[in-house]
Amino acid sequence: MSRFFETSDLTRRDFVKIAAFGGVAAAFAPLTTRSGMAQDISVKPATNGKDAPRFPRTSRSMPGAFPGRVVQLLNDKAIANDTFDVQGLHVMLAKGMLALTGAQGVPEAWRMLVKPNEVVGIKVNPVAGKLLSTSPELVHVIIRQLEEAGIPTKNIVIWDRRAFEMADVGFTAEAFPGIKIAGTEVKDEKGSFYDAEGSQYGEKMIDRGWYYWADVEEKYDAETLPYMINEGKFSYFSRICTKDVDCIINVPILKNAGPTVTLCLKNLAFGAITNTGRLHKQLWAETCAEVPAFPPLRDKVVLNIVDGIRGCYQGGPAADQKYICNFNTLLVGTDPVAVDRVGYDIVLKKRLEEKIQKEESAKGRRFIDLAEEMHLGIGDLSKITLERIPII
Amino acid sequence: MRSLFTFLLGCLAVLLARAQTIDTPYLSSGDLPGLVVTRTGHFDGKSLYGYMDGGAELYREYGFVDLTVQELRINNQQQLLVELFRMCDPLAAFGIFSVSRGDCRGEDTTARYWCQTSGQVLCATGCYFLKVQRLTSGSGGSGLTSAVARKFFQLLPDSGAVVLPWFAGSPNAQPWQRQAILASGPLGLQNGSPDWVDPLEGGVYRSITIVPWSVEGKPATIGWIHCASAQAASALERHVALDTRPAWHYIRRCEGNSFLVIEADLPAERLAQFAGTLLIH
Repeated sequence: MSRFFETSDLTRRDFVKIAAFGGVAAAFAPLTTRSGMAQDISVKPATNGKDAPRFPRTSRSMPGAFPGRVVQLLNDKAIANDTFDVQGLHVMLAKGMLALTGAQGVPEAWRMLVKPNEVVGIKVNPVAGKLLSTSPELVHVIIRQLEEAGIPTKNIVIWDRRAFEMADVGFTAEAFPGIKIAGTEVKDEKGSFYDAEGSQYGEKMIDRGWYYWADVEEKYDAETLPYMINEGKFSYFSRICTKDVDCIINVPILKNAGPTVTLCLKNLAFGAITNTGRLHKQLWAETCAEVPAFPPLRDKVVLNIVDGIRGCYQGGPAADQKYICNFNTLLVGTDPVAVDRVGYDIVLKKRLEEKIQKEESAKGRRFIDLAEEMHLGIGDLSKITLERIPII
Repeated sequence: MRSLFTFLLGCLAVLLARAQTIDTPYLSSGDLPGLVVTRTGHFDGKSLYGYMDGGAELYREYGFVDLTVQELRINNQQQLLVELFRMCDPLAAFGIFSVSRGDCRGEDTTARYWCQTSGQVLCATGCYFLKVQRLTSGSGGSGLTSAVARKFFQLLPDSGAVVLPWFAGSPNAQPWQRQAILASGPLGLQNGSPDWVDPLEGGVYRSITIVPWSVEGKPATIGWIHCASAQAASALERHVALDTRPAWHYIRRCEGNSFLVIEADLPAERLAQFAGTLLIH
């Protein structure tokens, strides 16, 4: 195929013809002032990500007990007519834990990762609402297996940024009796983010001792601010992960974000800190890789379980019914980078099959590469041990 | 006197702004047989972070004004989620619709831009982008989503169809507009035409219109990249190395700080000829 590239401007006569099309430049002017996208976003602002590796690692630090190991459970009957087969989920997770750890029994497998006297935080993702949330059914199964492993019910916390979003999708005290449900961003029973003194409830939920700094900031309006808790160049970690829990089980959903995915690393990074709005545009991949590299996440996340029973391949991270599908799968692993790499391929394969894109995007795996550089896990597929287990 | 006038003008502006934010249409229980509204929420302000966090970026890229969210229950069985986005202008509403609909070709006389699948209706009219989604499975879902969407349309101002500038002067091109994708930044591209993201990575442009076409019976894609200035167009040309994109078989820089790009499996001379006919129309 020969190619043709004309660099010369059109003639004046041509321009008149274009103008007859409707005055392209003038008519498109409204699109120019609205978004701030007319700026070069290829220049990356500085961050304190390089400070993260300076904190001494522990025996639990990512990638955890089983670097580069991922177990994929496949069960065509895991969901039907929007109803989850809870026993089927139980079997999937149990087999996954056994395959991952090599333990003889399921409780033993859990105890290889979690100690009975620890407070265990289950990090869910309800951001996209009922259509595309970490399923409460799967979380029930995780809790059941934790309890059978000897973890007291009172030591289990379900958490995410927004308590009210968790309630919307079914993570309520009624549905999970005895389990603490905690959010960093909190409203009172009147729907207010502020107490009688005018202070945000969320302020009490953050730990200013741990932060992600980035040389980028955004001014939030009054309505948005309490969802971000603070403005400026600092994003503070939630005290839920720095203080309240001893270890974390990370349960994201299998979904895309444009040509990439939002799985383990994204769920942790954007779910554990404040002031995230400023980070999406210019530092999405960096945030996904660098925030989990700080000790409150790096040294506490003991297990990742990607909820891929239902997921999406386009429209994410928001929920778009048209692109939601039943992947009928769970991914289990201690290495969040390896799990994300496997999940990425599942979503990419679906996107190619559905002709959403013709080829892989160069930026699709960037956050995985960055996370590997931060020594959080293995992103090279040739070095990942993937075991697929069909559930019949 | 001048300060009083300024003050009154300010008050008027505030009142107008308030008036704009409180006239957002919504459904009430009983508006349709068996309809119960279980929840209504309204998100104004400049961002959507409070409602959808990361997903908000796409809407902000186009220009978001406000959002009304309703959860509905119909006949005590089906649950639906309605999201009515008010965008800054009709082009923005069309743009967000264009990158959300995928390959849907659904037609409906209710709205010029309408996409219906089994569990969802998407449509755009005037400054509004409407999304009606089923939250529960079961039969009859598509009929309900379209009934709710139509009901909403009765409440929206009739503003006529938006016509993309690129098509305005060419009646022959009009039929293609329904399939056009209008992006005003990388997130729009990511959602509407992901394969165009990498070649334009880091480039600065105002808008891109991408249209599937047919050239001499062969499938083609036509892109119109518009930059803010001649300087910006030159910078884009240098930055993204337009001429190294393998699939872009024909690229022409035009006046108006724009580029015409054609993807088609045809000899360059034929594409040049076709480009000429495009511009003559």
